[in-house]
Amino acid sequence: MNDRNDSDSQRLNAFVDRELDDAEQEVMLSAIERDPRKRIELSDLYHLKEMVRTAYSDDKGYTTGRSLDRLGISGSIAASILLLAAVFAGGYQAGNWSGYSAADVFHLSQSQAESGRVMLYVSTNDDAKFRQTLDQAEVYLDNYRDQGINVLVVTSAEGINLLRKSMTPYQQRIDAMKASYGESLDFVACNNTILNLRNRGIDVDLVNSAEVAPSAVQYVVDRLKEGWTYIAI
Amino acid sequence: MTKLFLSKKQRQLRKRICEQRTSMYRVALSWCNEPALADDLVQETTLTALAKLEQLKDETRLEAWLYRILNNCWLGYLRKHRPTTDIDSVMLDSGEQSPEQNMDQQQVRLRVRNAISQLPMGQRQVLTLVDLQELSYKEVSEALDIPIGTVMSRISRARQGLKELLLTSKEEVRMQKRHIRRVK
Repeated sequence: MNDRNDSDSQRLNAFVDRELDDAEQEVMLSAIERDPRKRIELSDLYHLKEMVRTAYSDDKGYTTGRSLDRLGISGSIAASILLLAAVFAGGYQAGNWSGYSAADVFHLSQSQAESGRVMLYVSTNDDAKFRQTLDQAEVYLDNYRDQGINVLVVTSAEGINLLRKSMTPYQQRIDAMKASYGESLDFVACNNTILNLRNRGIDVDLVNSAEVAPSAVQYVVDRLKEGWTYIAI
Repeated sequence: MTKLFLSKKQRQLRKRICEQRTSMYRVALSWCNEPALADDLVQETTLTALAKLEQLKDETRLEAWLYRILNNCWLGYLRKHRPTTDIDSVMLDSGEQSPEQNMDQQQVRLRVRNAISQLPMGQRQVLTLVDLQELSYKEVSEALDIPIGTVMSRISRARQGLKELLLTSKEEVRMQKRHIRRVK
């Protein structure tokens, strides 16, 4: 009996979701016509469906100004942001990171009429990626210091652990790099992530060299507008 | 050698992925109930999708493919953070709302969202992919890697559960109103 009820209910839901073929719909329509309880159930299902849809209709995301549209970024710039991210993320995931020389990065950067400014973005808690980020920053800074290169290491989500005193294995290295490269190198943590952690009762104490941006994504977008090159690690 | 120039087709697909961000955010929010986390999940999904675009064999399946990635990102998050919060237990404190406010449309939305957040995750995912994202059962089946029969049973149970939760919530509001009238 229960199985049959379940099956009936599933078919009624499938009807509401337009998942039945023509013949099945005909059968269902006849059943609905005969059975007043089915009509009530059908009305409830349509109502529920609409309620679910309406419940999230106001949410557009990026609640802290993360939306590229809200930031007034043109479609082409937004596309280039994601294109750059994808190009580099794709290369990294394919194990081709070593194939991206600093020259490649500068080539891309020059194509946006700017050069010598590179952002490395890390958002996952991965020691290998942390090390990769710092290594890469050093490569750029060592090879192009004379040309006035600037490197930003931007962290958000779990990537912020790179800059948390209690989590990072690289505190000394980060502070030493900052002392060595000075204003050519900045480490940035996302305040949204910090607030999120604190809301969960997690204490966040950053390394001395870290700065805080209200939103990492907005920060990245602002830098991209200024011509910085973005590399997702 | 890295390809720096994309074909027109690839550019169109990238554009379509970017256009899905708001929809993905709504679905992600309905799953995790946490705006900042939903943002992060969408960000991760978008970057992963763009990086792995060449793996998409059939572009008509873009949405199912995207939501499969979103689901993987969400499952990855849950695996890492399993013990911290029972997301099914996250509830709105209805005691903070006046009965009058409960009639407001915004409060109804909150009640619906609260009810959705109390559904089991499997049901919640199917419900939101079908109702918010308007994916077909087949697409949901592909996105979540479950049989269509499971999609059907979950959507049916999800709506039944949602209905019961909303009725309970409505009854609580009614009782609050009655209580206040007595105090007066």
